[in-house]
Amino acid sequence: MKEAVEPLILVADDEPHIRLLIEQTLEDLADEGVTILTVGDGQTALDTIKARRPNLVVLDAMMPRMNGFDVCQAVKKELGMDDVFVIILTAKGQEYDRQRGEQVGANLYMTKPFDPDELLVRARQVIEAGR
Amino acid sequence: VATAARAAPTLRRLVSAGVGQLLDEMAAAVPGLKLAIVDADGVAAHVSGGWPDGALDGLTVAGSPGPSGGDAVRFLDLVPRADRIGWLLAAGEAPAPLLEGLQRSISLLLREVLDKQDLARETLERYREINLLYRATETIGACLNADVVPRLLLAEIERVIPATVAAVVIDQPDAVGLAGAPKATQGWGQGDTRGTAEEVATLLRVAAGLIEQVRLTGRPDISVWSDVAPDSPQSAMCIPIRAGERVLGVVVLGRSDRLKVFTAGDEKLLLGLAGQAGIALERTRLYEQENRRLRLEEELSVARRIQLTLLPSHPPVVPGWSFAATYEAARQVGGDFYDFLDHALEARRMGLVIADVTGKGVPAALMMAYSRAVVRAESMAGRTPLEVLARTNRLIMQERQTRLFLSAFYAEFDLDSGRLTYANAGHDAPLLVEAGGRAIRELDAPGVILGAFHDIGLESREVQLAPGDTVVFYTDGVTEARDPEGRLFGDERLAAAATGAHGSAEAVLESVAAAVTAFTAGGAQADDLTIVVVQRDPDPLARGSSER
Repeated sequence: MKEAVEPLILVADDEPHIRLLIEQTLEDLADEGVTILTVGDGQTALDTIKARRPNLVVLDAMMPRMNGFDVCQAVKKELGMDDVFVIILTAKGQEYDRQRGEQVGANLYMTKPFDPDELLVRARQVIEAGR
Repeated sequence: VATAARAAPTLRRLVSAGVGQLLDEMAAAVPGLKLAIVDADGVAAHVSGGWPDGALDGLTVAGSPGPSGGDAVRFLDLVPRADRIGWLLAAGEAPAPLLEGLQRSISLLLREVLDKQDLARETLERYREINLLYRATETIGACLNADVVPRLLLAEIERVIPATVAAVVIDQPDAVGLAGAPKATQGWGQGDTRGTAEEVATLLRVAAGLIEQVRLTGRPDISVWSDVAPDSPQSAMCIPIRAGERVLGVVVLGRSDRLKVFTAGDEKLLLGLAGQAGIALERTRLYEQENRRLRLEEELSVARRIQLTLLPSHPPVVPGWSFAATYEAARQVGGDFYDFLDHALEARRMGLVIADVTGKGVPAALMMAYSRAVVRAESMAGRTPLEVLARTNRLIMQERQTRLFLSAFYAEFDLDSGRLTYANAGHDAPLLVEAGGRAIRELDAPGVILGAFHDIGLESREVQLAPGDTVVFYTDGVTEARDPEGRLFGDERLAAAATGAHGSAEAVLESVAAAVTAFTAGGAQADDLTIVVVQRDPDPLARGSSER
């Protein structure tokens, strides 16, 4: 009954309402069979990425136990998981963050409040590219 | 029941939230027990236990024969709220209380899943609004061109509120002679076929009452019409674009009956966007005002430079005579000028012109420069005061590009005899103060301003200046200077100041200037202020005597 390998999206944010929000934003994808996992800190995010190799990871920049940049750095540079698409989310107006996001190899950088529709479009593109 | 298709998301979420595992464990714990969760369409979200292949296919009604022809399959309703969203299916040996307990627990969990989903949807909606307003702040809010604001507003609206047709109507307070005439911007950008010119016209017509009401009250409103023509909107929403309490315009949207009528939620969202547009419009207006002010300042400084460059740097030095002159520019720079024409000193003649160009700023300054050059040229050609002014008038009439005029007084002094010949083209008559301030008279002569008529009726006049006589030339900035109560300085105060001073031309000038300054007491100077004083030196032998 289980599908072969379902596409997987990991959402890492320490704020529960943002996790809820992103999950809800991606609801359409979930309805189409994409599994959405949520975690509340950077270390758990990294462990989950290692174990499950998601298609897409949405990382909050500021998280306890390892921030989003460090997680991204580990995924992209240390683990060499280039196929994992990483979106980093950060607070509005911190432009130096954008530069840092580029340095650690993030595929996309979005500022909060993010545009839910844009996030859904991007996520869909990533999932469809991986199918 | 079908197993190939995908079950309803809510049930799948329920399964992945731990219910699937729970069912697996129960099925494993009770030998022969088979459990499944299917959605309202009969699609399985989860199966536990040894259901034979295809056992669930075709199951439709409670009480159908069991998978192996043995136990019947029990259908237990899952009704977390008002509606059934699926069933818990059970086959095999299991106590009824256990199954019913399981049914209740799953229903409760389902309710929580649904509540969470509702909350998430609501949160996402709010978040969308926040994001929308943030975006609008960045696009509309950053706009410094008032003409672009309506287009940006419509672009933002289009992203979130579906409509058939839309228009932004901004009141144009600056439009001269067209107060309140609306400027309509057709909605939905270029190349978009939603909202043709006819549709916009229809919307503005049918919603005219709504728009007027929103304009007056400053409150948004929605109108719904029944039995409308196919090309006419069925509902319209009108939102004020406000800056504080002032209504700067409105945005109006229309929906045909293909779309639902507008809701209070749409209204709230649009109000937020229109608020951004209001702030932006107000700011662009302030920005434009400031720009206009800066341009005007720049223009005035140009005008002032022109004017100051063309005024004599110092009065001439001629034995037997003394000259003094002052010029103070108003903030708005008028077109006063004066000039000493000393090219005929060898012939013992000296010319003086004082003039006042109508208007202010650069046009007045240019007119002043032109007139001064003409007067200078005519004077150097050796013409009489009357001829100088008459020919200047003719040239201005021929060359004129602007509707500017000037008043001018031209005087020519015979430096030896003291005879003063003059003509006056509508200028304030200078004052002749006889030596010792004993008597005062106006040097009047008929004539009207230059640049308005071909025939200006000039006449030449003469007067004899005795030693010690003083002539005070001035522009109307002197007599029309106002005190803080708005009273005019006037001829009498001028005469008093002119006669009250004893001494050189410089002393008389200072006396008059000080009287004006004291009178206006630091108020804003409305016009240029020019004073020129000419004095024939007193006869040293006659000083202090009343003999002439």
